[in-house]
Amino acid sequence: MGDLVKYECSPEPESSDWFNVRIDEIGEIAAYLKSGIKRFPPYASGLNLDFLLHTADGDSLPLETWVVRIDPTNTDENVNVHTHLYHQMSTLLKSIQTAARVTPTYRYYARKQSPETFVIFYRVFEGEPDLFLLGDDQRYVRLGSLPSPFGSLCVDLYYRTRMEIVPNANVSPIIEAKENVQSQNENVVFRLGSIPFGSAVPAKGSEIVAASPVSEEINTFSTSPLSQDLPFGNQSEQEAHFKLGRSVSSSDDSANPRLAQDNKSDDPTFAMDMSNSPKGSSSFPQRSSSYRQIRVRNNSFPFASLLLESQTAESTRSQVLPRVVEDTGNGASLLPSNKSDSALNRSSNKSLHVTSSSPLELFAQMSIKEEDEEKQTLADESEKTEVDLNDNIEGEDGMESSDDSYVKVFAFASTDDLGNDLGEFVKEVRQAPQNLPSFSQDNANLLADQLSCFKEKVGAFDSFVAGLKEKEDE
Amino acid sequence: MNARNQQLQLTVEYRQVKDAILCLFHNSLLHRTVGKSKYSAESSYTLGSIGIEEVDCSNIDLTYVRVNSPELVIDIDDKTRSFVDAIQTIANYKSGSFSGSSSPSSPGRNMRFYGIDQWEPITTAQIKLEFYQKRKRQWPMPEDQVPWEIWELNLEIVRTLRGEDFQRMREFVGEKLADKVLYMCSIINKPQYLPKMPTRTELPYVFEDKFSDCQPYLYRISSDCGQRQSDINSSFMKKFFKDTLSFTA
Repeated sequence: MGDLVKYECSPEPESSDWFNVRIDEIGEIAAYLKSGIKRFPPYASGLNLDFLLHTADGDSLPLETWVVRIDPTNTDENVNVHTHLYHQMSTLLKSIQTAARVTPTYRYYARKQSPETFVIFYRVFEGEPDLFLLGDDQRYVRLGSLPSPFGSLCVDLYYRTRMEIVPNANVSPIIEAKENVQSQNENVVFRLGSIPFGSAVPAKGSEIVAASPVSEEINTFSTSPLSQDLPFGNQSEQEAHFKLGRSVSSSDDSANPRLAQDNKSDDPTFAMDMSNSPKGSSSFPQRSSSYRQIRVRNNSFPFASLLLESQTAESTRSQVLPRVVEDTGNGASLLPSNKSDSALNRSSNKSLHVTSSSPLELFAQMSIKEEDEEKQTLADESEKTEVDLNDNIEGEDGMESSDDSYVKVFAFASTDDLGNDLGEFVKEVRQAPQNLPSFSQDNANLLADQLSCFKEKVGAFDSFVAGLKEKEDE
Repeated sequence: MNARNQQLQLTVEYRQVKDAILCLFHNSLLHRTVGKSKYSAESSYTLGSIGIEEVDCSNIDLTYVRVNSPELVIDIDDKTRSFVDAIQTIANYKSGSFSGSSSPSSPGRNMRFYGIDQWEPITTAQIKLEFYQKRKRQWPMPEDQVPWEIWELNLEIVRTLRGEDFQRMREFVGEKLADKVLYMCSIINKPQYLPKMPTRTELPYVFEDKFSDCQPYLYRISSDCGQRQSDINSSFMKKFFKDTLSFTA
C-alpha cells in the first residue's frame, strides 16, 4: 500500500469491466462483503461504508461515511436502464473514485498508515449511518442521484473536518486488547458489536482479481431510439442487463424487481408435480417441460428450480461474484470467472452431492467435467452427466439401466436438445458452491466402508435369514 | 441551446497554477471520457474500458485521478502549456521589477487562519475547458462548433514571500481544490443534457476520435492570458457574428 493506483485503458470491450471502468477487486474485501452483507438497497434502507482511524494507543476516530441508497419514491419510468442509466452509473463510479482521493482521510492518513502510528479500518453494514460519530463541522456531499424505474440511486459522502480524538462513550474501542493488534502483513478483522471491521490496508500478497463478468454483451449498446428497450444485437441470444449489485448466490428475487414484487415472502415459490414423482424431490429433469425456469437458489431440495412455474419475467443474467475458496493457502481468495455465462469454471472437475429430503432417501451424485477452452454458448460444449440413484427410485422416464447400483445418463452433445429445464439444471449445478456445508463429503467413503462391512457380514446375514426360514417352516 | 457554464474561483501561488489546472481539467475529462467505441453496425456499438491513474500534485498537497491515457495527458499538457508559461513569464517579470510596483497585500481571513500574513498579487487569469458538438451547415459554411458544457477557471495568482508561507499554501490550496473537485462531482452527476450517443457516421461530431485508448467528448481549451485587449475585442466580434449566422442558418 501507498503505491499509486494505475489501471490501463482497454480499447477492446472487456466483459469483466462493469460500467466500462477498469477496477480490480481485492479478494479480501470481496469476501468480507459477501459474508457480511445479506441485503442491498432497496431492500436495505442504505448500505454504509465507514472508515475509522485507529491509533496505536487504542483511540478511534470515525473519519468518513459513504452511503448508497435507493429512494423508491423517486422513480422515472422513462429512463432506459440498459444505456442511459448504465452510462450514468459509469460516470458516478468515476466520481466516487475521484472523491475518494480528495477527502481528508486520503489526503492526511490513508497513505501514511503504519502499525506504529495508526491504521484505518473500514466496515460495511446495512441500515442508517450514525453521523453523530463524525463530530461537529462534518461536511456532506451528494455525489449523485440517478433516477431510474427502481428509484433514485443516491451516493452520499459525509466526512469529518475536525480531526480531534475526543473521548466519547459512543465510539467503542475497536480493539479490546492490545495483544490483538496484528502486523500489517496479516488480515485484520475486528468486531464492534455485530459489525466486523476490516483493515483498509489489505495484506501484501492479497490476490487481486478482475471483477466478475456477466457476458460480453454487457458492453454492447445501441444508439437507435427504437431499440432502447430491446435487447441488443441478436434478440434471441444477447441482452445487456443491469443489476443493482446483487449476487446470484443470495436470493435471486431481489435481482428482478418484477419477481420481487410477486414474491411477498422470502420463501422460494415453486410448483411441484405430485402425480408421478416421488415425494419430496425428483432427480429427473423434466425434459418435456416447455416453460422457462427461474433460477432460485435454495437449500430445500435439489432440482427445485426445475419445478417452478413459468413466469412472465424476462430472463435475467446475474452477475456472479467470484466464489470464495476457503481452502487455499493464502486465506480467502477468489476464483476468476470466465467471460461467458456457460463456462464459469475453467478446466476443473466439480463434484456436487445432493441429498434429497424425501423419506425415500434418494441419493444422487453428479459430476460434471468441462473442457479447457472457453465457449460462448452451451451449444459448443460437450457434457456428460452422470446420475447415480439407489434402487428405490421409480424411473419416471424409464432411465434405469441393467446395473442395479448406478444409472448413467449421458447428456446430449448439444444442450439445446436438452430443453430449457435441463439447461437450467446444468447451469444451477455449475454455479453451485463446491463445498456445501449441509452435505458431508464423506458420504462416498462411508458408503464404500459400509458396503465392505456388509460384504464381510454376508455370511451372518445369510444365516440369519436361513434361521428365520426354518422358524417359519416349523 | 445554451451551454452549461460552471465557474470555479481559486487563489493559487504562481508555482501551483499548472497543478491546479491539470487537476480540475483532468477531473472534468475523466467524467466526460468513455472507452473506445467499436461499431458492429451503424447503430450498434461496444465500449472499451477506462483505466484511471492517481497523480500526486507537485506543488499542492493533493492527489487527483485522471484517465490513464498517455495520449490524452500529452494533449492536455500541450494545450495548457502556453497559459502556464504566460503566467510564469508574468510572475518573473513582476519579480524582476518588484521594488514597489506592486506592494504586498494581506490575504483574506482564511489565509491568516493558515498563518500567511502577506502575499504579493501577480495577476488574474482565466482558462476554460469547453465540451462541444460539431454541427454541419450548408455549403460553403464551415462546420459549427456548439459548446454544451463550459468549465471556467478564474485564477487569482499570487506570490508568497516566505518559504514557510508556500508550505502553508500547499495545504490551503489542496483543501480548496478538494472542495472544487467534490463540487464538480456533485454537479456532473445531476440529470442534465448530454449529447446523444452517435451513430458510426456521426461519431466525429460528438467525440474526439484521435486517441487510441479512450474517447473523450470533443473539447477545447482556451484562455485570455497574454492576449491584448484589441485581440480580445476582435475575437468577441467574430464570435458575435458567428453566433448570429449560426442562429439564422
